[in-house]
Amino acid sequence: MSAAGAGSGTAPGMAGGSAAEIARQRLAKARLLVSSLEAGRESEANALAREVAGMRDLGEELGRITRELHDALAELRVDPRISELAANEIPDAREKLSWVLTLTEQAAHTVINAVEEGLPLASRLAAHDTADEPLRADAQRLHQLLSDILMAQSFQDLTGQAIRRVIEVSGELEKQLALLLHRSGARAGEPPAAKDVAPGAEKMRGQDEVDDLLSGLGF
Amino acid sequence: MNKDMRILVVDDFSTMRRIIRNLLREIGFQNIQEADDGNTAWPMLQASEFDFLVTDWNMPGMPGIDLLKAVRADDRLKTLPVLMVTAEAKREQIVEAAQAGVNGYIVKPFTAETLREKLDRIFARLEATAAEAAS
Repeated sequence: MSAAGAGSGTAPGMAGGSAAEIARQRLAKARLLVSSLEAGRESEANALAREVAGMRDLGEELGRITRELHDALAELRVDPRISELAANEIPDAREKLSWVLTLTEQAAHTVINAVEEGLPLASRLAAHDTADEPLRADAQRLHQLLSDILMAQSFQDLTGQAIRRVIEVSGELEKQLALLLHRSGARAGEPPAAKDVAPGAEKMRGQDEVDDLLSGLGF
Repeated sequence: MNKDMRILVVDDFSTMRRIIRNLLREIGFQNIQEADDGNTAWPMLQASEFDFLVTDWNMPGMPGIDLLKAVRADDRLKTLPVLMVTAEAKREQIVEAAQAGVNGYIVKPFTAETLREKLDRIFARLEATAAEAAS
């Protein structure tokens, strides 16, 4: 990047002193500034203040920051981990979280189905003509336990909201990383060696697919 | 409490809708319908008579607080009792809901007993105001 070279090249007078030397000189000037302020020597104080402020050259600072940014971006470009993260791992993690969401929802529905069938049964038992007192008490207790199981399924709503949020945030992260890679010149869409692993890493969608695969392999 | 009243339950999670529906059924309410966010609930509220609205806060599309505000701003619906059942437990949110005219606020996770209690309180208060207005 030419701006970096230009920045350091045009740095005026101050470039000669080391950083420690500049710091020492600034401190000395600042002390003078304080004493002239205390003594009420306004114009002298103003001049000193301007001097102190000017001792660190802005152009030089800008040049340094630009160089650092440039180096950091160049490092990004050569680090395949970053583009691997943006192109594969974060999307994969998001997919896994969605899967957790789906699976817990299905499980919760399965439990609620059973509870919906069980609750009226427990009520009917508790109210049955032939039920004696201990049986009635048991049926009521059973009803209570089924209600507790029902209420416990609300975990799916609460954890689901949290998981949705994480999916959202990692999507944003993925987008920002891709943008950064794009700006640094790398192409996030072409991660190193990503496609090589794809066939072996393909995921089976259930026991049937696993069985099909195995029988295809001669098991 | 009139056990025949029509109740609309609004929540984006189908599990939570079923839980609330079952709890209401246990209390004795049979006339329950569901919607998955404010956008779905609004035309239902417009199209038919509901006596009670139970809504979540955080939903994609139209959140519960907006639904509550829309209900209170609507001439026909403005007196509809609204119970909020939500994981949003921040003080300013509860205040916002109260200022928007919510009748009750339950924080998830909750118990069946909490729901029963809040329903009792909401309808006792409504009956008291109705009696006051009549006298």
